[in-house]
Amino acid sequence: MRDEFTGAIRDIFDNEDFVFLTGDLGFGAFEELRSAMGANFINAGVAEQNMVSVASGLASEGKKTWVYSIGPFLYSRAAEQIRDDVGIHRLPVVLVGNGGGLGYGVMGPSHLAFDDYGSLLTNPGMTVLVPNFSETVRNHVSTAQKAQAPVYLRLGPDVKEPEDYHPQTHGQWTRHLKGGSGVLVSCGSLVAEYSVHFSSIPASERPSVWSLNSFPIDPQGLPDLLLKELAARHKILFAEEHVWQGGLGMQLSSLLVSRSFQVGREVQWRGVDERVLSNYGSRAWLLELFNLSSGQVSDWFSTS
Amino acid sequence: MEVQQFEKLREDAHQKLMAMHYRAGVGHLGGNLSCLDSMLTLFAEVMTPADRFVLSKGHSAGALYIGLWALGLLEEEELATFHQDGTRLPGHPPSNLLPGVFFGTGSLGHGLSLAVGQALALQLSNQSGTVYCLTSDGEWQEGSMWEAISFAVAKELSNLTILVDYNGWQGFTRTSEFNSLETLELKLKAFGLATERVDGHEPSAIRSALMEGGSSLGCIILETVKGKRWTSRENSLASHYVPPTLEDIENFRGGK
Repeated sequence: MRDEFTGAIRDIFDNEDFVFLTGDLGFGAFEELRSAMGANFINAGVAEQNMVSVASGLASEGKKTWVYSIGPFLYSRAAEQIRDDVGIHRLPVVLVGNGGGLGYGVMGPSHLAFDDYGSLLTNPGMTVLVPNFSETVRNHVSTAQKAQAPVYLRLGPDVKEPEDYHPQTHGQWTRHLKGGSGVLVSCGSLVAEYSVHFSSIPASERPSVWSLNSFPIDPQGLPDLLLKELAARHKILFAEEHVWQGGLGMQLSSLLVSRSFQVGREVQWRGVDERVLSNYGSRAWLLELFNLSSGQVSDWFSTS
Repeated sequence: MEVQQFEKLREDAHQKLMAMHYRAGVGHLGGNLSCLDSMLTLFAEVMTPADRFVLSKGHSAGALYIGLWALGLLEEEELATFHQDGTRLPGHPPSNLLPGVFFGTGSLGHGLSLAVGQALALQLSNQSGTVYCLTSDGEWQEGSMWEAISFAVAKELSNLTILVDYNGWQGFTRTSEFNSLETLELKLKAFGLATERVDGHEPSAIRSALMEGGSSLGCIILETVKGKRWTSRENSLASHYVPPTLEDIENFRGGK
């Protein structure tokens, strides 16, 4: 998604009050942006804690400030800076984490953002934006640019929308596909991959595929259609490139439980667990490890 | 401000700081007394409306509040709410509740980067003004401080002036265990900062150093005494923790 992101940033950069900071990353992607933005494109070096606090200082002076790095280098390395300097002050700093989820694959767990939105959402006023298809990045960038409070944008692997694709947007939710075999709820690039996979399968033999596109979940914004499908379908699967703690499955299920909502008869959560710390492989391999691949998910829905 | 007028302000400020901590029954007084002279000098004698101040050593919030009172930005009655429930004057500065105090600091090693961000914003907008950042001495054990310095030097932030309250004490030991004054100054210079040592309790010396800082990124090391003028606790670790007693208030040496 980085190319779409870079293009979107290039298009919204229009004045001196827009500042883009990168933690010494962007080779092969940001060169043109750097030239276009001049002094307002800043390589803050290999010093993420300082970079995040500097961004807060800039934002306090009215600068719209974007901060870019590999996911955990921001939300984990600079956790206290995000909490104290961005979050407590509710400054409109946009944190951009590349490689969202398992994107950096065999680079190992230091680079994997499998606990990003769960931890970031503990920060005051924080909104997390999770693009699914690459085509949605531009809208998320626009939303983040307008935000008056902290935002984290999770960039994942590139997945293009399939042809003849007609998603339905319901507030912060999207139903990508209508199906009859169950309900699949996910987010990010993962849901895009599921949508591509299931788009070639007849509707009666596939699940409805839903995504949450931003966090936190608005308790009043759960689509009636989603609730209806969750109540009516037999198989429900929550799947995410994230650990259970603070994840989509945990948040949504606790919300549903608080409403005494009856969900299907066979409900499962699939996500990342501690095996990620000692198993090294590509993103595709890791998805298989956690039963998150499109094939594995498809198999689950197709078995009675 | 006339010398006599400033000395009177200084006297009153010290008395009020002591009284404020006594009434609240709280510590952190030692590090407040070590930096009050420099904060008063900076606020009353040096800063202009275009300037910014960041208190990176947030535990010296009491001195900051007294400084705001000295400028007429806080009423005397409000000083009595220090550390009380529902106050605007908590143990560390609140976030954007007080005039001229945007950042709620407290955890060490944050304020300098925030100040660097402010200075960078002014530089990018070609705006005048100097950003002053007051740090503690123990704070320089935080790695983020050195990240901030590296960045500030790389960006040639000539509108940033750093002050170090070198009172020689940190939470549980003397700062010399980690950074002697000489070692710290050597490190700061090695990172590319112009440094100057001054007596942190001598307003004329502080004023001169601040005014002469001019157009270069610099660091003024304030040689101070923790718990200065607090007779029974001067230059002690205990001054970081214990509140003053009524006897301490009565025996306090004021602004001299």
